Amino acid sequence: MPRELALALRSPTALAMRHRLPRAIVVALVALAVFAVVLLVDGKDPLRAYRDTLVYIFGNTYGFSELLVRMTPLLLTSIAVALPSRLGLINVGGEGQLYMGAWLATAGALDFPDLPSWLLLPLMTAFGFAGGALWAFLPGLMRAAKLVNETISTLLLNYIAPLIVSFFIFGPWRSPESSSYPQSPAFVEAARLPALGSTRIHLGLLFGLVCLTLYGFALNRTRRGLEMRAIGGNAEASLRLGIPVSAYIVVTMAIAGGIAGIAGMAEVSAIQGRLVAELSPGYGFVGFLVAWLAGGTAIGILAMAFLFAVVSSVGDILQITQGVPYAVINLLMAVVLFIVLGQRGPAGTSR
Amino acid sequence: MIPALTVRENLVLGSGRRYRRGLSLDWRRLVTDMDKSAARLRFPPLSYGARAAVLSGGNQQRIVLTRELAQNPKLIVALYPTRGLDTRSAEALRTLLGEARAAGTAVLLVSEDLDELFAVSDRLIVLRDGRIAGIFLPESFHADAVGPSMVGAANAA
Repeated sequence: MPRELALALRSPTALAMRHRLPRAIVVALVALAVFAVVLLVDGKDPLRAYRDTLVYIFGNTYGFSELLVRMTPLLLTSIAVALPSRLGLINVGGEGQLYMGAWLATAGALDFPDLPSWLLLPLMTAFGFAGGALWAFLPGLMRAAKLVNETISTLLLNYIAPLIVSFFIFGPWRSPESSSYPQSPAFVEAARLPALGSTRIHLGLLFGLVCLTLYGFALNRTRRGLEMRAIGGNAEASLRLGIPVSAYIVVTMAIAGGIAGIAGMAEVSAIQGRLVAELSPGYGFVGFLVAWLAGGTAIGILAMAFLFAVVSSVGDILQITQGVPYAVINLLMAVVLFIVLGQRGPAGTSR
Repeated sequence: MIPALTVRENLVLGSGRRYRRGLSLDWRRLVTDMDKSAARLRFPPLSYGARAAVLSGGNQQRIVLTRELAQNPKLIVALYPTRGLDTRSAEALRTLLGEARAAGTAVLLVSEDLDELFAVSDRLIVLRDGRIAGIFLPESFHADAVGPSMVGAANAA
């Protein structure tokens, strides 16, 4: 048993292989074990805390449906990171791209309130895609022109997007009926993405799953996917083989940003029903972790998005049942990150 | 060669637009063509599914040769083409270059192996410090004649 413990801390992957368990589960178990120590130090009972959490998440439909609600934007923002990572590009700008998607989708909802739902929702989705795409197209362009590294530019654009959103909800779009709280007017019913039954699970989940399927298919089954993997493998050689590397960089970044933008559109349309300042509790950043840990495979993204949805639910529930501050969830996420980073290189480079 | 990709993928990438088919690629036609090309070079059957990174230098060389000679090019620029190959494969490659020449293909062979050059060349040009140091025809293909220009002794004498 001590050997197992040592193995668990040193290399959860080796442990997973030895017991034929999915890697995500082993990572989750090790992270929860480490986090239990933190709870113990704080004088809480980790076993009770975890039991409460499990009962809450898996014991009733509401808890589980909320898990899927959290997972939806994570799926989209992690694809937004994973797609450029196949080219060897690092997109840290999922958060900003999400905000820009939400912003432009809101413009669609507020400017065309008379359109029927079947027309307005595709329009808002296209707007959301365009907003996010713009926010990643610019870094893609600068990278292709060898001006600015995309890691820096996407990161910095994250700070600008929420300010643009704030400008509009404090200014031109400020809702007249809630003067104390900056937010846009509520969307008309036709601008709301339909939800599943009485839950908050919405069509965005389907967007995420479709995007994920397309992602896996395009990369592994198409010529363009092959050329993308070639660029990721050796950009210089790919250029010599006649692959238009710069065009791939610009277009891939734009598509990736667009996918994050759809996450923003789904959040305002389905969850908030209006544009607000605190749109995302860091979905773009967590999506980066998800993609990084998933190693770029579609099934890995699905598993890791689920895992991180659980992790952030744990934070919510512990706040209620154990009275610990929500910030401890950042601690838990950091623990997960350290465990996985401790045993492998940057996304997609190992194995 | 891109090490992270499979042999099959490396073969298709280096073949330009030839095997494009809709969204995907015509893998079956690629394999047919490459099998034919490898057989002509008397290479053992290629392992299409293997990642290029796991192949030895000689086997990587085989992949490149199979790919480049599959489409009957009009001009062949061969840079150390037999490097890393076993004797039998090297011999088969020289024969193939000879056949290509006989069929009207221009062949420029760059090599440091004098015996190989003497065996297959119609004309031999020695480059030294970026200049042509000597041009030789088959009747003077022996080390005593070519050697001095290679080491720069021809001018000094």
